[in-house]
Amino acid sequence: MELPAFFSFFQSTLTYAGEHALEELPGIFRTLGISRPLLLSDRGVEEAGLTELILSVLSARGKIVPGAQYFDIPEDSDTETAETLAAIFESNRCDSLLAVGGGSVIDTAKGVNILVSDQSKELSSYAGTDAVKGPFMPLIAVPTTSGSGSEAAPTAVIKDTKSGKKHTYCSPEFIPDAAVLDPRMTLTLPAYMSAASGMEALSQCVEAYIGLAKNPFSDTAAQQAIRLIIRYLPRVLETPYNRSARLQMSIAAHLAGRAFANSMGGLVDTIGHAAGALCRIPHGICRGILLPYSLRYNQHRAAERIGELLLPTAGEETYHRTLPADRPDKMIEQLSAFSKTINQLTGGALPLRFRDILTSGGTPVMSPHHLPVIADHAMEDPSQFYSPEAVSRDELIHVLLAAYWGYPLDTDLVKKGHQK
Amino acid sequence: MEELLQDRGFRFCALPAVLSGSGALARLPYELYRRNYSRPLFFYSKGKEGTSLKKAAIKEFMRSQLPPPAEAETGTADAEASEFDAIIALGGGKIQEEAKQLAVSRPDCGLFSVLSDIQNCREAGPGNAGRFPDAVFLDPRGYQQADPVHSARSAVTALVMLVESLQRDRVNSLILSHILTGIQFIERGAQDLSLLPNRHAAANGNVAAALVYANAGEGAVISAAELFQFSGFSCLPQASAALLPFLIRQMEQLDEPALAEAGGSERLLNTLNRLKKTAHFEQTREPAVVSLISQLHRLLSLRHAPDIRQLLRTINEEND
Repeated sequence: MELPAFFSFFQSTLTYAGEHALEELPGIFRTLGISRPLLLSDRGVEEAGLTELILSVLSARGKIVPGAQYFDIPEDSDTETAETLAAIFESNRCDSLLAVGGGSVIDTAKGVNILVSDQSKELSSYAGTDAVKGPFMPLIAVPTTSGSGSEAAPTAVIKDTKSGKKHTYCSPEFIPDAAVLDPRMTLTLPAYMSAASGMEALSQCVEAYIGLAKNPFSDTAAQQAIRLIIRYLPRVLETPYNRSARLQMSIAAHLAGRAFANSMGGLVDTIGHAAGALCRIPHGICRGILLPYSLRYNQHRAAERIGELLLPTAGEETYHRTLPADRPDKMIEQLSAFSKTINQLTGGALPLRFRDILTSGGTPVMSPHHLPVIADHAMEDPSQFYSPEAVSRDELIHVLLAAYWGYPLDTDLVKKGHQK
Repeated sequence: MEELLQDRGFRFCALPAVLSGSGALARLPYELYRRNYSRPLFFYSKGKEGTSLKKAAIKEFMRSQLPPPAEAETGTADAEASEFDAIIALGGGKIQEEAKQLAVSRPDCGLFSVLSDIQNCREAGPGNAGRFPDAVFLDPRGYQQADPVHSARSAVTALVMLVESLQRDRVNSLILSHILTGIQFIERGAQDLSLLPNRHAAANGNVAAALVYANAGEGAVISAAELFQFSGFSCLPQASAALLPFLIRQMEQLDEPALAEAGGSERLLNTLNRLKKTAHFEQTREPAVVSLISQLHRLLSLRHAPDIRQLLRTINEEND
C-alpha cells in the first residue's frame, strides 16, 4: 500500500442503488428541502421513455412537478447550452437541478449550477479549479449510462462554444448531492453505448490507479470497479435486459467516478478531451481506444502499479501464476484481450482504433491530419499533469498515430527507458 | 476468478471529505474559504493535545493570510455565546462529540474535525448528535505523541468494525471499497506503531472504519462488547479482539464472498495478532474481561452473529 504524503478524498454524494431506487427520488427532494427542479435530459433519453418514468415517479410519489424541463442537451455539453439553461432556471424560479442522462447532461447541470449559484451569465470564465465559491443549488443526478461517473465527480467537462475546446471545471462543491442508480435507466441503452461507457469507466479506474494523485481510498474503489466491469460488462452485452448485471455496471461506474474524481486524470483523459472535442467522438470511445497505448507509454514509470491491476483484471489464479516482473505486460495483454471481446460482443461497433470510427454516412471522423491539432489541444489540458510520465507534443503524436492505425506503440520513439 | 460480491439495493450516505497527511492542517484555512465560511471558531480542550493542535492551526491561518478564528474551550459557556459560522473541532472523541452537538444547534454551521489521538473510531462519523463533519483532517502533528499501546487498541476496534461489516447482509460494493481501504491502512499500521507514519496509517484506518460503520451499522461483536463494557472502556478492544477470530472462522464457514476480497481469513488474523502484541492485552487480563469474553463466545456459538444483538440486550438488562 502506498501512503502519499498528502491526499484528499471527497465523497459527499448520497447514493441510492437498486432495482427500485428511482422511487427514492421524492424522499431525496424532501430531505434536501426542494420542490421545483429544473429537469434536464437529452433527446435519446426522452425517446427511450425515461424522462416520462422520472416524471411519473415524482408526480405519483411526491406530487412534485418540475419548475421547467429541457431535453435538448447535445451529446457534448457546451457553454451556450448551459447559459441558456441558467436563464430558464431563473425565469421559472427553480430551486434545484435534476439531471437525467449521461455525462454530458450531468456536466451541463453542473455548469448551470455554477451560473445560477454565482448569479452569472458567462460560464467559460469559471474554467479551472475552485474558480467559484459555494454554496450551490442542490443537484440530483440519475445516470442513464454506466460510464462517466459524473454523478460522483467534482468535475465537469464542457466545450467552449466559441473556441471549440473542452474545458474542465473543478470544485468539490460540484459533486451532486444525490445519485440514483436504477437499472431501469440503463436497460434500453444500445450495446454500442453500453460498451463505450463501460470502457470509459474501466479506463477511469486504470488511470486513477496508476496516476500521480492516487490515494488509498481511490485505489480500492478503482480495483473494486475493475472487478465488477470485467465480470459484468460482457454480461450486459450478452443479455441486455439482465437487470442485475445492469445494476452492477451502474455501481461499477459510480465507484469508478469516485476513484477518478479523487485522483484526477492522465494521458487517456488528456487526449480523449482533445480528440473528442475536435472530431466529435464520444469520450468513452476515445478512452477505450487509448487505454492500452497509455499503459505502454507509462509502463516504465508505473510498472508496479500496472502489474498490481492484474489481480482485479484477471483474478487471483492468473495474478499469482505470473511473475511480478511479467505482471505489467500480462495486465496490458489482458486488457487488450478484454477490449477485443467487447468489440466482438458489439459486432465490431465499438472500434479498437481511431481510423475505424465512421460518421453515419460511412466516412471516417478522424484523419491523420487531425493528429497534430489534437496533440496541440491536448498539451493545454491540465489532466496531463497526473500522468506518471510527462508528455510532450511529439510523443503525443506517436501515441495518437499508434492508436489511429491500431499498431503497437513503438516505445523507442517515446520516452527513453521504456521496457521492451 | 473468485466469487464476487453481488449488490442488492442499498443507500450509501454522503460522507465527509478526508484530508490526510502532513499538509492536511495547511489545507484547513482554504477549505473554509472555499466554502465561504468567514467566522470560524476553534473548539478545543485546554490539555496538551488541544493546545498544540490549536497552535499549529493558527500558524496555518497566519500563513494563508486569513484572520485566525475565535476560540472556545470545551466545558465553558464561550462557544454558546460566540458568533460563528463554522466550528473547527481540535482533539479526540469527546471534543468531536461536543462539537457535533454544538453544530446541530446551529443550522447551516460548518463542522471541521481536526483529529488527535484517535480513541474509538467514531470521530469521522455522525456520533450521537447525528451530524457528520464536513471534512476530517488527519495531520500527523495531531498524534505525534500518541502512545503506541493506545493506538494499537483503537486499531483493533477499527479492524473488528471493518471485518464485521464484511458480512453479506451488511456489505455492498461502496462499503466494501472502504473496508478494503481501512484494512490496508490498519495492516500498514500494525507493522510497527512506534513509527509515526504507521500511526498515521492506523489513524486513517480508524477513519475508514468510522465511514464504514456509518453506512453498515453496528456489528454483533462491537455491539456486544459495548453492551458489556460495564467493566471499563479498556475491555472493548480486548473483548472484541478475542472474539474476532471466532467471527472470522464463522464467516469462512458461511463462505462470505467479501471475506475473500478482503484478503482472506489468515491475513486478517495475522494483522490482529500483530496489533494484540502491541496492545499488551495479555498484561491487562482483568477477570471482568475474561468473563465478558466467555459469555460472548458462548452466545456467538449459539446463534449466527447478526441475530445475537437482541439476545445480548436481554442479557444486559438481566445483568443490570
